[in-house]
Amino acid sequence: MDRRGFTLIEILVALVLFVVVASMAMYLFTSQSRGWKMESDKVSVQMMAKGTLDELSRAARITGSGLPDGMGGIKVYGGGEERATFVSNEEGAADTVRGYEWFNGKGLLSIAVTDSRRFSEGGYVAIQLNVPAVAGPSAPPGSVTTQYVLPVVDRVSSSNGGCGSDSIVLDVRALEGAPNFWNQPGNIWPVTVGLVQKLDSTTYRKSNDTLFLRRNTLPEAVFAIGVDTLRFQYLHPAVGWRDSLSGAAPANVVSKVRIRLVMRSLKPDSKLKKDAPSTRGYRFSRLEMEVGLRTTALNNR
Amino acid sequence: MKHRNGLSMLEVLIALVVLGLVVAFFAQASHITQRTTGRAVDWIQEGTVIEKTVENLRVGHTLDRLRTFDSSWTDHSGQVAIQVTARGAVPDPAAFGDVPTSNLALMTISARRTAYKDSVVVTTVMWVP
Repeated sequence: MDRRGFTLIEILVALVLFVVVASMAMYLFTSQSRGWKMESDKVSVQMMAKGTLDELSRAARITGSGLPDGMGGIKVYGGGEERATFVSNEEGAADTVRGYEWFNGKGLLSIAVTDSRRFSEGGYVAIQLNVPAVAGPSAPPGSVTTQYVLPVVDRVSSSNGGCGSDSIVLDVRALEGAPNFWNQPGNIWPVTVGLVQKLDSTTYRKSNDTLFLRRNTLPEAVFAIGVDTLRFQYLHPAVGWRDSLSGAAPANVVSKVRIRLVMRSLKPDSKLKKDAPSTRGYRFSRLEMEVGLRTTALNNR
Repeated sequence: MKHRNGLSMLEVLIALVVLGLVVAFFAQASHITQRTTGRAVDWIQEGTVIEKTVENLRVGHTLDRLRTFDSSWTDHSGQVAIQVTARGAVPDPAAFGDVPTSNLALMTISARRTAYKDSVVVTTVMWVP
């Protein structure tokens, strides 16, 4: 029986062929895997950007809802970048002012309402106040009705939740800078049977690459990570697109808000960093949205 | 003595062709997957541009203007240049049953990445008071 086996040459040729084929297969696999990961990262960044932009757009779209004209809207900090607060009355919570009482020297105003549970302690309300028409220490009692935003410091609820005995206590020290001699309780008073409305605020604040969300008085929470740039702009018929509406008059005719968002991947890619140093190894996604606003309901500052 | 012929040239060629076909199939499948994933990025961009266009059309246009709207432009606000086309029309009352169409405009917005052929197209109805 012939049992020659393989010669050394045959084994060497087979090994060389195996190494060549294995190398080609590995190269093919690695390049395909890298390409797939790159595309997957791009999609992931895009999805994060889209989700974040959708949420910001939603907040912008409902701003001012459930509030009277001139209330609510958007407050911008830092020249249109980094931080914005959207104010609305999300639940439509409102009550009627049934009476009031000043706590002199404490800067507090107690408002009798039907159901104090509609409001949240530490939250804000919009309330109509009668203020003097003319500023000055000797100004006559007011005849001008103005909407003010005041913080709720306390709620008093009747034991059975019935009518007539509920009240909310408001901090009126925010009015100290007002020019209408407000600090004489005889000169300023809430409009009885006028509405007092709950205010809901949603603030987005960017720090480093993290976007934080704070709703009403709840603790701040991380909303998105990987936010490279966030920028808000506003369209005013008199001044066009601006980062800030400071000085643009009238203030309550903003028709659109533009949100520009750049997201980046969470981890840098070493190969991308080597190939394109300007990216620092990150993949970016830039999206922009313009949201139409209710032009008569906003008071953007 | 046992006769050991080994493989014939024809057998080797057939084996190579089969191996080539298998490799080509997997390479092509992987390429298509990558290309589709890449296009998904564009679809998100195109969808966002369409949303923005709808918002812009919704604000500040009269009913007549929307119904006769016919415009194309290139949007550079996102990652890539997107060709946008928006057209308005009078909706067919038959398609809306009892709903009056006197305040409605039928809008068709398409967006596609420049240099690509396939578009994302959205048709929507706008109510204008």
